[in-house]
Amino acid sequence: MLTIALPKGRLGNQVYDILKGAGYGIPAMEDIGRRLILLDEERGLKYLLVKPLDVAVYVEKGAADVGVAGKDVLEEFEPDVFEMLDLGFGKCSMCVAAPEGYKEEGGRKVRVATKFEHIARKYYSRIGRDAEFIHLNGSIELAPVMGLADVIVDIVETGTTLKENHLHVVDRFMDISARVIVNKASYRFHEEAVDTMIGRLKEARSK
Amino acid sequence: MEESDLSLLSRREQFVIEMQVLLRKAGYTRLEFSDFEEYALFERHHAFVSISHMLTFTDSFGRIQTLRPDVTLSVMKQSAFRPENEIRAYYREDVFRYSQETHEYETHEQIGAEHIVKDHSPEDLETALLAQRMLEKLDVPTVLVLSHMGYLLQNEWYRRLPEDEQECLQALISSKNQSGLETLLKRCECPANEQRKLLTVANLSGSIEHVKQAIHEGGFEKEMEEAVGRLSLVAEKLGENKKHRVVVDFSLVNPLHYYNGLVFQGFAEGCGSAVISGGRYDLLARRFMPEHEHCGAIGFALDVGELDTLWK
Repeated sequence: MLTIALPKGRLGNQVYDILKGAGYGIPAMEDIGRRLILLDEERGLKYLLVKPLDVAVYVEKGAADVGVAGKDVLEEFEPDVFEMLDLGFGKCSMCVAAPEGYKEEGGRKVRVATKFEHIARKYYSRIGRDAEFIHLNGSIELAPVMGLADVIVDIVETGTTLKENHLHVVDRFMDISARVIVNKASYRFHEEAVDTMIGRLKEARSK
Repeated sequence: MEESDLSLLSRREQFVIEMQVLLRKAGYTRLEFSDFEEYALFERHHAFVSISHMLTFTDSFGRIQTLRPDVTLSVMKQSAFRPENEIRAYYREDVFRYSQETHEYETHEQIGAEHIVKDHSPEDLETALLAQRMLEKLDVPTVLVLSHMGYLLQNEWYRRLPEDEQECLQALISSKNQSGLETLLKRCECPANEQRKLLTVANLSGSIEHVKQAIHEGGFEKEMEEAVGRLSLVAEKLGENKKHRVVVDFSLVNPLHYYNGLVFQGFAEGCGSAVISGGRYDLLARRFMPEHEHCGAIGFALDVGELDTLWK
């Protein structure tokens, strides 16, 4: 049996749609409710419904064979998994955003508020700018408004939240979309089933 | 001690003893180390072993010591001073590594085997067979995955890439991220024929026959001659054991400059990660023994902790 970790929430709905399009849909996906496990005994598949941030953990540790995770999660946690397909939806960008009128002060470290500390560290290391990181778990846009940080590093989809909080994008440095990930050990024992699934998802993606 | 006394031990302890007996019977002698090693050893060879997140401390003589993240460098250090031309050594040691996932340090118990020869490179087959025999003892389906670093390291275009781009390219190959690899190759202005070759070869996985056929169809036989030739010798012999699958997969590459020829990983059904990792590391051997310009080394380590799920 192949175990597939799916993200709950908005991304999850798009994942169920493409799974249906690829011929893997089951009626239970229409009304998941509070269930955390769905079984498709006919095809030998078990679906785990987990938080988007946890999909990569389930797959890397082998609790799930396959999963769908955002590129942001993969870049942040760098799990040792195969990243076999870009599903092409859930598109957004990782950006540096600052308050309107913000000017860089080169003489001191820039204070960066973010939920994605590892990605932010890699970004500032690459551009060679000294930075101090403030890890927040949500409402990141509030940090510069309240003087907690100079800038934020966060996911931007439409930019509406930024605009409403008088922030603007300074640098859009990473494209994000949903990716199919596979446990490296599981792949060795379920290669045919995984390759078939990837092939069908590719077809469904291009429809 | 009677044989039945072994049943008093945990399955993990029994396995560790079983592996040591297997290695001794194969002609390997044990090397023992302290948990500490001089940090300078790892710093000198940082191209071979990552020195980030190492646990260090200053000893009473003011020298920086570290809790060892890898045993191979210590094996090479000892071996360089030994008089024998050929060394078959094994170790059973803890290594200490930082986990990116938990942000904590973890101890891994490893059993490793190293084959070092000072006047020529040791054969791939002996070591690969030994790894297969260790996997066989697990009583679950296993897969040994083989690859060869030559298709990258002997590629002129790849060799001219800056080190950070090389690392990026290897990371994309090892995660089978074809779309990311395609983007990187374009960004680095890789010539079209090289792009086609790297995208095809990096994605090749299957039996040695399947891989040979795909390389023939792609017209890459000449460039891949050495890698495929060496892999064939090993894969065909290992493939005679029908109980355990052998797969060639060129996505298996090592991000550090440690290995230069055959690389392999062993997987056991039920374990979430590779249980065995190893390969040829002639270049490292030559750094330790510059007076032996033809020396070579090949070895692997088995991570005992990865097997715990099998025994729970």
